[in-house]
Amino acid sequence: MRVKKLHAGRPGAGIYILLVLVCFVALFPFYWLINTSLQSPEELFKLPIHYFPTNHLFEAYGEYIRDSSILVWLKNTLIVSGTTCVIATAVGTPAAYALSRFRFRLKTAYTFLILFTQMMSAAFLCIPIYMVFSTLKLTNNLLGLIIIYACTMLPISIWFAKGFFDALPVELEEAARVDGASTLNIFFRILLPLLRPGIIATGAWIFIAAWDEYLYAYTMISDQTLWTNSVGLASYIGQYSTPWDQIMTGAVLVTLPVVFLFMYFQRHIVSGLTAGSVKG
Amino acid sequence: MKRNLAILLAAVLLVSPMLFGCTQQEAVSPEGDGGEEQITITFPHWYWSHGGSFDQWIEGAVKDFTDEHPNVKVEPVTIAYEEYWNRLDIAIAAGTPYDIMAFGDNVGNYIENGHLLALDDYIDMDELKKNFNDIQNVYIPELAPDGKTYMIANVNAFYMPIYRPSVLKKAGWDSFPQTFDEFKRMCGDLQAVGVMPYGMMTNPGNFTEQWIDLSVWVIAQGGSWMKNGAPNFTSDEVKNAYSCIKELYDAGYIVKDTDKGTYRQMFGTGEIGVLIDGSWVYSTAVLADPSVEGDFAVADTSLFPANKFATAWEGFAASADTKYPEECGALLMALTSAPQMRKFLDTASILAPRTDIFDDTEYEKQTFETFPWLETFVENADNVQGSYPTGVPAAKYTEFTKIAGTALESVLYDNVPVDTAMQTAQESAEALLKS
Repeated sequence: MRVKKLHAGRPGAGIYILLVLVCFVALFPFYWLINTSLQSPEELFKLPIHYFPTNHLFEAYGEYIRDSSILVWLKNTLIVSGTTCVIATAVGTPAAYALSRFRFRLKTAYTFLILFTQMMSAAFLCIPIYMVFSTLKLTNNLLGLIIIYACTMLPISIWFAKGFFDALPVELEEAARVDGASTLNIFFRILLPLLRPGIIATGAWIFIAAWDEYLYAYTMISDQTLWTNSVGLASYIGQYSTPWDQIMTGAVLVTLPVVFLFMYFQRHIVSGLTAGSVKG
Repeated sequence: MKRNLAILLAAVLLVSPMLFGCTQQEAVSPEGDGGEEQITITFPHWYWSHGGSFDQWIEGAVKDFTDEHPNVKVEPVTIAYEEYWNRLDIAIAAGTPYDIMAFGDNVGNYIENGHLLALDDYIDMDELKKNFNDIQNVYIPELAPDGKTYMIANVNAFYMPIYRPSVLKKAGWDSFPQTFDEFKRMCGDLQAVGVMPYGMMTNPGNFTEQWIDLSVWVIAQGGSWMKNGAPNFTSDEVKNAYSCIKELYDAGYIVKDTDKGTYRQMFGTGEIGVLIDGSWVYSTAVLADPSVEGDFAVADTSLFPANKFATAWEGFAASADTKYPEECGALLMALTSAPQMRKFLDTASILAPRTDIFDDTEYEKQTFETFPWLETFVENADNVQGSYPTGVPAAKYTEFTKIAGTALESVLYDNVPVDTAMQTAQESAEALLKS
């Protein structure tokens, strides 16, 4: 069978136009977010639409940071998301290794149980969890939220990491074992360095999932000083009015840390997500 | 190996302070001045973070109360309006209800399920009978099977046509239309000058907010949702109400795909011509555009000969499980007292269901100078009818409103003839009440 060769020539102008259009569609909502955050309330609903900001960026954002509790929300969310990420990754990675490499009784049942937990939605679980946590005095504090997030995200962390472990050849470990390495040595010195992109990708996913989570946060936390980003932003929606300019300003500010996280780790995240896609 | 263990240990040590530091400390309350037990009353409300002066009022009212009762601490719990009753339900289901809670005409469900405290022994009932109107003394007690008082209302919401004279003038109208036909002509003229004529909730699935807007049109015609204990969807008044809305909707005179808070702000900036809404619109509108001050009016007509206006209410109740019923009763009386309700009117432009608000003639004069349009509301206080469908059990109220909302959506979006939609709604409502 003849195989058609792919010519690595320069892409035509059409491809560039298409790419520009796709980028425009992808970026426009974020631009609109920033634009709305820089309009005054009186101008938000006036026609014709204002496509360009009317307020000064630093003045508007500075005023918002001064007058709102966004920094408190960001701090709380950072604590919760960061701790959840560390716990879920630290516990999930060895668990994934065990599932991938070891044979033990009830392994299939255990694997199924991990997946089964993902079939129960947060809406289904939040009332029973609230009742239990209320008895344990874990409501209205960030520790309770961290425990919930770590437990609910651990299965996904295990499943992601298991996929990365499965992609690694067993021969690597066999060779190390022949040289006298113990299981822990193999895990820490051989497998983890190889899986760094995958672990970073998993950690990033957990961090973002915890960063954006709303249902458990608003159910468990009633103290305003412990609100996370999502609860804080949702509180703006009032009975009689909704200050959309402030909501958009808050939304931009809470998005920025995640954007910086992605920018810093993008190489690892991309290679982690595509690991195993090409057999080499 | 040792290095790895050391790293693991370091990570655990790093995480531990974060975990233990995140736990909220139990506050040890000092005793009150007289050596009395220091108690804490939990009070969730959306007012705490609403803005538009609601937060100012509630903070001030609670402070005035705690100054007089130094052994009582009121713990504010901020819950956004959209999520308020979900949170209450979760707290009640978990056996940790809040001490004070806010309700509207959904209070009946909570009364029937035994979640609320009968206040009769803890408040001044004579004060309620003497100085509150029918909302407190007739409509709210109707929701309690035992006839007791479970809620004290702080909001007397009645819905009248509200407009900015300058916006109507732009469309060539110096005064508000007096009939529905004139109203349609005005809507056409507003549309011609680029103003969306009318704002009401028509978003699919938003039955709660649709209900009051539908009630406005039904009651304006002298109709009611229930008659002689049976659903009244097939009456001429209800059919006419739906037909009027359909006419306006098809002509493009009603704002689409917009939440109520947003279109109230759009009214403030002159993008929407007319709302049929409550007095609170003023404070929202002024925030959106300060030029509303002096350019805000209320029309003395419901557009139909019956000239009736829909009314609803909100207020406060106490949990049946509260450990402090007397303190809760005292707090509720304080929040809804005449001085506090005058402050509420001044800050949030909302009328309370009290009949003695304007007993102070100096205050009355000052208020009508500040809010000249408020006189129209006050003058029509007797032309109101409750939007709650009398005769519908509290547990079925939400389903009943869904039937009305579903009928509206079928008429507006699926172009089902009004007669057919009302017949379907009638049958559904009858089946609901029989079940």
